[in-house]
Amino acid sequence: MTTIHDFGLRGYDGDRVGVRERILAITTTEIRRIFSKKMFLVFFFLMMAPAIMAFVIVWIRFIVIEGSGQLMGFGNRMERMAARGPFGGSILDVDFYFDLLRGGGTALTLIFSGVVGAGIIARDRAAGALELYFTRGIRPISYFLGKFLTVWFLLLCQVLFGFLIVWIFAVSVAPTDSGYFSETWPFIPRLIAAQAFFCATLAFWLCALSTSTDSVRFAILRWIGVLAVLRIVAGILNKLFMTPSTHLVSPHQVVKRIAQAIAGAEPSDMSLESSILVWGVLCALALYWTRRHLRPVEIVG
Amino acid sequence: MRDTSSPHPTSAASAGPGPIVVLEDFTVRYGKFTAVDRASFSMPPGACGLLGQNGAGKSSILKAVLGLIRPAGGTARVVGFDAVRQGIELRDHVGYMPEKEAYMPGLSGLDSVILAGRLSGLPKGVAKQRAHEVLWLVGLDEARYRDVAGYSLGMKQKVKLAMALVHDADLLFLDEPTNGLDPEGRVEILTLLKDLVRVKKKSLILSSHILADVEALCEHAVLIDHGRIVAQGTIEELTRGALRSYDVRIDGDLQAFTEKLRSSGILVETAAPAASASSTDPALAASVEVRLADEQTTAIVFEIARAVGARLRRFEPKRRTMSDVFLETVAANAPSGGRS
Repeated sequence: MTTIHDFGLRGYDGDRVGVRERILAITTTEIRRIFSKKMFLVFFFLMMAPAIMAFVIVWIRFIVIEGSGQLMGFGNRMERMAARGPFGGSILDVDFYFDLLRGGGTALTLIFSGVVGAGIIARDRAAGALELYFTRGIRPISYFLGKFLTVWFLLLCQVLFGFLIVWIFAVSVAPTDSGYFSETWPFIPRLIAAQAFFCATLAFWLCALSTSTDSVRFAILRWIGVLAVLRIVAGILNKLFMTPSTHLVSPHQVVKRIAQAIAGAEPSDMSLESSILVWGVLCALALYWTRRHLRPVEIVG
Repeated sequence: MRDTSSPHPTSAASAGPGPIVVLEDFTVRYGKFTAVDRASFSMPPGACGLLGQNGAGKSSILKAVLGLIRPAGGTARVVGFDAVRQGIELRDHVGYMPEKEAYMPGLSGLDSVILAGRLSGLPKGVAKQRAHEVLWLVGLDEARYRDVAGYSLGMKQKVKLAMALVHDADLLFLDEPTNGLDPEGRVEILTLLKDLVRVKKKSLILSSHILADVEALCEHAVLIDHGRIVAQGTIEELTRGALRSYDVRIDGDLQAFTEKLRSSGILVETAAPAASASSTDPALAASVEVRLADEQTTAIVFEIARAVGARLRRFEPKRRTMSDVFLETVAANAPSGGRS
């Protein structure tokens, strides 16, 4: 049995930090925990496959076939950059970066988001950690924000950072006379905003859904399953009724449509106004769901 | 966002011997159900037991103490804070150790305590330093670097206690801190808590079904039943017998002594027959509990012993245990036709 020593329990009369630091404490601790797992790192790099593929495309077009474009069937540098390859369109187009691998990027993002985010609050609920959080000097909204920022950051790592690295690499290796930078720079800020919006929406919905269960596996299956099923349902309805508005059934399609508008990418055939309306309703439902399941009065004691 | 770094108002814990918790006419309702009915009590610094059956209203009192509940009426002041209006600030100065298994998943003991400190407003560096100190204090040495999920129950209890202590809480609320522990672990935790109260002058509220723990640790107790405070005071006051009961042991003919007492109108209770029959302890076999009415003096017991030729070996006022107090109080306050 350890006895109490004087230095073992000193008083603390210093200032206490504010809410922002406390939220960041949750976020940084969680990110450190996730990145400390080797399995996660392997999974993370697998999920970066679209960015790696884009990287390879840029590398081939700018470096490997530099000077031998005639052999590849391209006349000059601008033609090579604008050419549509098997994995993506023109590397001068916003669509190439918005959805790497022609939709494959989004699919992997959905899987990645489910694995890293669907269980983020469910795990705490299962371990009884919510009681520990809510009896501290923070509000449930601060706790939720801390978790939301974690998931948002991880999704941005997978989506945004990958494409930014590709773009920065391309800028650094593109021939100065090709016009690559001047062609792509105008849409980069909008693209960043679109990806940030897309990831933030997914992170919010993930965290909200995660509040209502204490099973991580169920949370992951529910997220991926619901999105996949609704996507399939939307496809079936579209074939039956031949109207683009049936895609509004799929939350993923809805948020992607708004992100396309922000990025200035080629829009899908859904109405933007209807998409914003559905997005708003879904966010309101997620907010209600969160408030309902994160009540300290019910969790503590 | 709001900054919670406001200076600590007058804290009862640090200001002096004033009450650390004061509830006045505190009422909590869930819909039409009244969980706490105009509860009023004040708790001086030190250790206080909070006793009550399941559903008696202990949890609601706990939530009030933590500033998590908006009452239907009344006021609650805890370590100098208005628990209703200053819940966030209050929780920076109160530590809570939940009854249920609770840990930060995927974190080591050290990281859990650091996070707990930072959530209570400690700067990162301070939280880190204090986490090491507090984990050392509770007896988690090298294990602090391991994932808490792999800890034994006793170690998890220690981490929870460290999390409750790390931010220099003025008041600790401990919900069944020895629940599920083996006897050795229970003694270890109780010793640690005693040290906190008696050496480090921490105040704590102990909610426990193990009344022996409350008796061993606390100077005060509050009994709650059906949402009402039915008894409160020092353990000394609460366990003092209402009847004048005495433990009496004699050398001599116990049966004759007992019969003579009864014939004199004195209530006598012998040890349970099975216990006395099987007991090899002659003291137990020759002991009785004598209850005197108001008009009877203790001298009559001595006279009867002399009359039957017995020698009194022991004559002590009998104290009730907290268990007796609890059961008697609950029975006395049970609604008619209800539980007894």
